Amino acid sequence: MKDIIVTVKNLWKYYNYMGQRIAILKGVNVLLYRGDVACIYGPSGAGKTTFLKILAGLERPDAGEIIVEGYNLTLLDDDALATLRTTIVSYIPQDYGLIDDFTVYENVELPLLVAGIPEEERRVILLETLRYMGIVEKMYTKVKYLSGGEKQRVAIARALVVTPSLLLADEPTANLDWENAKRVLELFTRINRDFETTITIVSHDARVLEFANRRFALYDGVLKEV
Amino acid sequence: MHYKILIKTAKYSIKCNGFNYVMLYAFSLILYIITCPGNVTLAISLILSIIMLYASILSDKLNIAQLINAYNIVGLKRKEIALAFYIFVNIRILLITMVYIIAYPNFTVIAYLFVLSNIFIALVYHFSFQRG
Repeated sequence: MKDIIVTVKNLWKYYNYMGQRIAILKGVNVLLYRGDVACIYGPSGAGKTTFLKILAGLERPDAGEIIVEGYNLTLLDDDALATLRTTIVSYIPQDYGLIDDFTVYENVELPLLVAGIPEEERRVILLETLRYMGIVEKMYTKVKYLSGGEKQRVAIARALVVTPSLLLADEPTANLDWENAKRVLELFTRINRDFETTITIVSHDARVLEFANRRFALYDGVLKEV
Repeated sequence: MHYKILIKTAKYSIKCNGFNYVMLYAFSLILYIITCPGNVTLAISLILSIIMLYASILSDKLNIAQLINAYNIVGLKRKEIALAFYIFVNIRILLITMVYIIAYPNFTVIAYLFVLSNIFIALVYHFSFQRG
């Protein structure tokens, strides 16, 4: 029996738009197990990013329950959710969320600084992660000089450096050509195999589905396993 | 508190374009206050200083947004992010304050500048960044 990593029960999220209350997620239910690679597929505006941000503790739901590794996110305050992001959950936004004027090393180092890891240990973990991601030779290059594929690797390295149980990637292939996108998706598969990390990818690109062992469709705020 | 992140933020503030504008302004401000001493000069310079600070933040708005976004993603707490922003901006406020210490060493004026600019910056943070 596999460990349950994510439990989502009857999740609702509304947005106010021009004075109207619009439901973006309508009673979403999902169970994710350790080692799952889940892909949530759906058109733009279906609520994929909102769902991922709620899982990362970056947004709060209006109703429902989310339990990640035994922590009920709906009961945690903002500080506890922030702590969760340095330990259990890592989130990779669509625009990578990197600081362009920082070097690769400085960007990947940030979660370790937040976690309060001592300098020597930090350096060892960082070099190991950058080597694993194949970007060790770029470690002193500023992020603004990197290509889209390299930036994506840096963003993944930053997410991976704290060895999270749950890795959330928002449209990781959206800004890449298919060759680079395939490499990134293979990297996710390798991370999943090597660390048994549960990975959730949201995408509007149906080709991403073949890299996942759990496939979900999110249409008009309703999530269904396919 | 993650002081290394705060030091990184201060260094980043110095490297951003807006700091160069504040530096240029600081040099011209020293000349202005020394060559035209008086209360009118002082009043005008205080208003200009606050406008200059606002302009320097506006010019670095994307950098600040990137910084806050990255800090949020890696799990820095809200209060720590606000403190990082405060340090980012206060490096610039300190530079202008130093100009007044050199050119017009009057405690009341310096205190006014410091308090006013900080209130102003807090409002900018609240309305432009935290809500965004």
